[in-house]
Amino acid sequence: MSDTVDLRGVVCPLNFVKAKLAIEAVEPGAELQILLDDGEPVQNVPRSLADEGHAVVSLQRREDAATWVLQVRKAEA
Amino acid sequence: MLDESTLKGGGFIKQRQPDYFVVRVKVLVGDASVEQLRTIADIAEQYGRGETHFTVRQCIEIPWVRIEHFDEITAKLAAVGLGPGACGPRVRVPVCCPGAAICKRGLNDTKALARTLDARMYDGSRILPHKFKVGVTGCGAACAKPQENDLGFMGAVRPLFDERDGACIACGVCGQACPTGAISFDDEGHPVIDYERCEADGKCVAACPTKAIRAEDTGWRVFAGGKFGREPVLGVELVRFVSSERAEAIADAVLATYMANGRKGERLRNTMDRIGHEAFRDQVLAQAQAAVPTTEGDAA
Repeated sequence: MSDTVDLRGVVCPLNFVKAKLAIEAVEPGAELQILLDDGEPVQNVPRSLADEGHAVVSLQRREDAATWVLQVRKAEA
Repeated sequence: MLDESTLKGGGFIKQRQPDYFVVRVKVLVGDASVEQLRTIADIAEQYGRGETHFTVRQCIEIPWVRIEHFDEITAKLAAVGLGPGACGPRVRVPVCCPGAAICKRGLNDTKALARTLDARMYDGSRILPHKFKVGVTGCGAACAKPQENDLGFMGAVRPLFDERDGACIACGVCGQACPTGAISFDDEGHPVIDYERCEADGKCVAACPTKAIRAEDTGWRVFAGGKFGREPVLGVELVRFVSSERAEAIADAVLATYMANGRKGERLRNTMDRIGHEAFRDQVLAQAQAAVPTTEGDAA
């Protein structure tokens, strides 16, 4: 079970900065779950993390449609 | 005695105050080095009143200059690679956003295209039916407002989804990012791109978290016939996606078609309205085709 970071209500680009800080705190190869708002955040944060070398394992919209659950694996050192 | 219309062509504009002129300095693509800025500042201090003005089209003007100093000012500007900006019924200095060189959103190199277009199209001695403005912007956000110019270019990408690489995680974010609804999904949740509806703005490429959709090719979307003034009207799309080489050929063809058909005092849009948008487009594309034959990947 991975840690969850709730970035709902956090606007771009602060949500990316916070996601980056959160992923820095986990071990290389470990996974992190991030909750993101629909719209700009889900269109920006996952891709930006991928551009930093991390692996987007899954990205799914919740039933309520307003929240996305991102599962990301930190890049190996 | 210097002729005032010649002066205007050379970027010296008469002020409302007698005997004073504004020197319009051409700042191509909005980039000025510190050395150039210092020179402009020195000229403003020495020959003007220590004032400069940034125009709405990215150039810098020095007001309160007197006619007897024109030659000295021109020489000082030339020494740092600057020259007077265009005025009157000529091709104006193109406006451009930072584009892919700096901006995260930029899809293509706006500065390179704008510099090339300026070199190809600007000729101070060539009098057109009316002024002719060019805008180059890096993406669909259109910061440089290409649709407000007689001729406008917008950075574009042709997206490609390649199923074989297995990168797609079926998140559906590409479909959400697409502003034209050009992406639908198959049974596995993988994207299917409708290229008829695709406006080549690259949103899907930028949003895809696994790079399963990538830019197959980078080019330009071209608009013609935009203007402001008393009756503002946006440019119409001339082509959806062309290479840089072809974009340059289209620019040449648009200008030639305007010169061949435009009546004195008529902006390009008025010419297009008079001869018909389809006839205009046909003439432009035929000329561009003759200059740079369509290759695979170019769609008019």
